[in-house]
Amino acid sequence: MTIEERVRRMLAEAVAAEPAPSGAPFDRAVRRRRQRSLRAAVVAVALLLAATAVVTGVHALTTKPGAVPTVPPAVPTGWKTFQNVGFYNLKFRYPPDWSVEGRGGFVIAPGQFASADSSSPVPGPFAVEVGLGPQYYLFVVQNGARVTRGRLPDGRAFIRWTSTQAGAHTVNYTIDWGQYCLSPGHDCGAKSINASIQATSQALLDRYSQVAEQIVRTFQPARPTAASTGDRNRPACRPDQWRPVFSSENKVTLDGPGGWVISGDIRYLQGPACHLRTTLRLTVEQADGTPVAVPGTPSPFAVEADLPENGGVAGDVPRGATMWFWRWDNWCRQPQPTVRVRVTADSGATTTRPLPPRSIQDPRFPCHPNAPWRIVPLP
Amino acid sequence: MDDREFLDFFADQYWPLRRVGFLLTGDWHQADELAQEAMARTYAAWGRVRERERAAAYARKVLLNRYRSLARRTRVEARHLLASRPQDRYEPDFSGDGPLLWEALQRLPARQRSAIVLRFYLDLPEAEVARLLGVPAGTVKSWTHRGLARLRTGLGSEYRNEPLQSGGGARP
Repeated sequence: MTIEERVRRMLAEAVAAEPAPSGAPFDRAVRRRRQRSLRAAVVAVALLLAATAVVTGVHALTTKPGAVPTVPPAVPTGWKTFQNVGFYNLKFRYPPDWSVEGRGGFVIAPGQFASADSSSPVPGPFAVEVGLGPQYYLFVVQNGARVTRGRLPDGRAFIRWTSTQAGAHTVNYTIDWGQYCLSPGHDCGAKSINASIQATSQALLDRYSQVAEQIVRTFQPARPTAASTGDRNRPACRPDQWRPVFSSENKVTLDGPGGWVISGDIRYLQGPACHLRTTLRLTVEQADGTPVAVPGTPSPFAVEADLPENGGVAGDVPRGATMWFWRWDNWCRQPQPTVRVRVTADSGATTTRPLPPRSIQDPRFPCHPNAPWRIVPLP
Repeated sequence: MDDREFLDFFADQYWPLRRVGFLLTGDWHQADELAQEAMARTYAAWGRVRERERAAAYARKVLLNRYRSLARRTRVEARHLLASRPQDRYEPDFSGDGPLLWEALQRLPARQRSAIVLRFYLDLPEAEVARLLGVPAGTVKSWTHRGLARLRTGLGSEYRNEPLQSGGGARP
């Protein structure tokens, strides 16, 4: 019997006498999701309070959550260079007393936190984990992440957001990494580089994050990439070649300050490869088309991409530069069940969808009738 | 809860996820935590991933990410002596050399262990494992090979010369 056969038998036997779970797993999973919604609401309220404090001058602007910190523009003398030309297409600079370990992605850490076991899968108390995402850098926005936009010194766009969970502090970057092929002729669509600065305590974050931020700002592709938003030398797309579509008939949305992320895509319909530049506008209306005044509307969103994107046909889950997003803050103040949202392109192509029902939510979940109600493009 | 599709999905997929969680952690309580977190997040993303295969892949991805975070936290806690392993651990009923392999599996780094479980329990092809773990297929091959080598070492000297098949037996 080979080692593989032995391992298969062992794995099957390990779960053969599976004990029953305690409680009702379905109810617990649903409850867990609602608790997360509540946590998001708590965080949002905290952000609102912090923002209010900023306005009233109690705190300096630098304490504003999500602000992108400034770092020294020049790379210090003596910093080493790391490069991976193939899969990750990444090079960056880092201090000589830090280490870089390749573990399917990279872990950059101060020398004293470098793992002695290079095959160890986890970073130490402070590390920067770097990975490649096979999608456009704004992909995470559809999950409702509250992000701040910025640009690296070489002009590449990024989004940045922070989180604290179970005592772990994380600063996340997702960087627009353009289009290149992972292998000849394959997987050539838009990519993103994800960098996650992680610390197990606020003290460690305070001590090392500025250097970590400066490392991230040195990220550059190791070989040329094409723009994520496509090739402007292609002929312009005709109006009959595409239309906007909502990404799903999502029935699960966040009530309260978490907002409803209204997301969608551009569906390629027909014709030769082309380059699309258009502006979509979101409006709210009654079923008979009567406009409903929601602050922020009509809200414009610029889309630029090649069609067909990545050589394929747009699917239900947007992954590329054809994605579009708005967030309806405090959407649970929906005026009537018959209200719907409409997305209209400057070509005249248009589509509508109804507001998601609140029935999926616990009716006791708090809605904030007096909180600001508005629609904003993301991020 | 009025979404029958998600209910059906939950009924089909919760238990396989839970078993994968156990094989990764060796702890049924943590397996429940991982599976429920994966289901909760899939539920939140249901509008985007409701197609069955896509939803299953999404749930697996969440579970693996959570497992990775759990492994990281466990390592940090162990380093600072903040936590100890529970004494009343569940021990599966194995035949033959199963106990030795199980013990060796517990000692594998999280990513090698993930690769072994995904390849030899779920029988996923290398490309899918690579997608779920966010690494190139070559890295999955390497982790699988190293993991199998360590498991073979765990069996003792009489198996050490047994040839490895570089992931053979599972789909490439």
